[in-house]
Amino acid sequence: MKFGKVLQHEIEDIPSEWRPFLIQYKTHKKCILKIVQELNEIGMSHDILKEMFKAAEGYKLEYTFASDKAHVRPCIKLDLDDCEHISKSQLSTFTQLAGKSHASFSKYDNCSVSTLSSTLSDDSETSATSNGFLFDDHHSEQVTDNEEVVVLMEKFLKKLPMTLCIELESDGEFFDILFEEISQLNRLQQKNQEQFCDRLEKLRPLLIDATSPYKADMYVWREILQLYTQAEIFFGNIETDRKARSYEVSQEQFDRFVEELNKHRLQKKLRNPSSKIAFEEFIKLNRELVAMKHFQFMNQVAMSKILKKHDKKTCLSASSNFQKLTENAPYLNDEITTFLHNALIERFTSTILLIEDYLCPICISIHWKPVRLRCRHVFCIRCLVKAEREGMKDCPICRAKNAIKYADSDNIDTSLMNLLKLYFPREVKQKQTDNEREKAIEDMEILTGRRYDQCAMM
Amino acid sequence: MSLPKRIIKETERLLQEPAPGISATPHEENLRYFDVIIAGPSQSPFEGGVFKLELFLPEEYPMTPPKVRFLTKIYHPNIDKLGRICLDILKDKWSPALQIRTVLLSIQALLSAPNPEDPLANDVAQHWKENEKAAIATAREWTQNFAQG
Repeated sequence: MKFGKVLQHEIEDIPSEWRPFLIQYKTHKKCILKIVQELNEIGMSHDILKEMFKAAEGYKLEYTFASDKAHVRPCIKLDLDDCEHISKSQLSTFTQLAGKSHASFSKYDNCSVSTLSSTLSDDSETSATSNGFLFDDHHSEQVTDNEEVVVLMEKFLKKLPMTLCIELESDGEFFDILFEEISQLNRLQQKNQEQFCDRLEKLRPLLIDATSPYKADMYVWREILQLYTQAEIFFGNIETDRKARSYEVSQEQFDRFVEELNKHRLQKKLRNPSSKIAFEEFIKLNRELVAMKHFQFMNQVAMSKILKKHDKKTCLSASSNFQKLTENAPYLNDEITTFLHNALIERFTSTILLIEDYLCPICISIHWKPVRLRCRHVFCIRCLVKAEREGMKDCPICRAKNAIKYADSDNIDTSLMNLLKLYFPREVKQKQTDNEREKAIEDMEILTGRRYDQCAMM
Repeated sequence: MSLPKRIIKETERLLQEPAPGISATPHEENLRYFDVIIAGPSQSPFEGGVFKLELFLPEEYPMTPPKVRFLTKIYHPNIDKLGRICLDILKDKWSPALQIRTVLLSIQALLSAPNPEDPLANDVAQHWKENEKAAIATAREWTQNFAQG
């Protein structure tokens, strides 16, 4: 399938209000034809240009971008510096070129004329001559006679070194449109970003209510968040893979996440009305992020394809130079989707407390009852008792001297204890049961003087 | 004695999210005994080598450190002929907040930064101090000869 068709097909997945912003691949394709035509008219057909780029001796041929903030102007720059090395046939090519492009120059406004003359040699006499030759409007209108051009050109070439700058009208148009499209996309992106953040802000009070420990849904929300993290929709979660996902992978992982949610019937388990609204918004926001990634990807591909086509058809290589000019455009890198994804995660994790943040580093289960050593590190009381029994005195995390040794009942963090009881009632209960069991086994071992053996008990 | 929850959790994470260049697999019949493989760190004389180790979690773990030993022959000032490792966190600097994962990462780091000032294999350390270049060459040779998986 042709790329233009692929784009048309894929745009169906994109919200309709974004569609007009898609890079107009077909328009650009037509524009390239115009550039080719213009090049042919001034005698720089594909083959000639290719030859000129290849056999650059005595002169330097460059295709560059002169850019100010509002425009990028592509320009073919020909530095002639050594008459001796330029072959006769090339000389006549240049002569013709200067003659014909000269006609196209005169169509340009003063701005380009002045840049052009400023790139010419500093020698005032040369400057005057070449200006006279190249930009005299009165004269240029009449340059149709080839012989006259050749005579003038020969005179002109004696004044080496000099620089010839050729700006093609259609090429300028091509990049003007492309540049404008990118800045439009940037504006769209900015608007989307603001809307996204607004929606996240509105979600805040709703989420606080939905996940409140006094309501029924707190644990369901934890399950949802856990599945979400495991789905690794936008980023890898594990040490060996933290890379950003491509749009295709994001789409796939998102679908899988929705499937998992259905399998666990999590949406149905939500009872609180705020929960239901918050859940739907959560899914919508994620879907929109995936769509943003998709749209961005389409534009990136469209741009690189059209630049490649431009380079291939005209023999003027713009791809790398133009991409350098636009690499800071926020639209073209992944920063914004990353930023929004982080904002989304932050909104949820700051409201829903996760057990991972309340684990004792020794037993890796909830630190109940929590003891805060004087170095501020928290452990569960049983782990510290066991550590002390083994003769350990310093903090297991930071090795603060005698932190365990000097800890007593005052080190029990009661406010943290209340928080744990409120937010993690199930985990606290489980831990209490486990602790009692462990304690009972220890007591029995002391009583019988034998190691507890599970099999013997059964 | 049943396996403590901590060991179960550590094992799960080791298998799900292995640290780069490190793998640790418990034996089926004894879940406290692990087969470990550490890839020689790049830009060290052990680069390209595959080093096998054994790791055992004693009854008192995590109050006492795991026992770790190289099974693959290695030319390193802090590892002796029997594969025993001279590393403070495996001895007096052990902390119950350390884990299998952090221990293995430390061993990997030891391969990148041999410390001949605190030797276990005296002859190797001597060699390292007197002629580091030659010692590194020998280490590289041993890696080629003995640590190819």
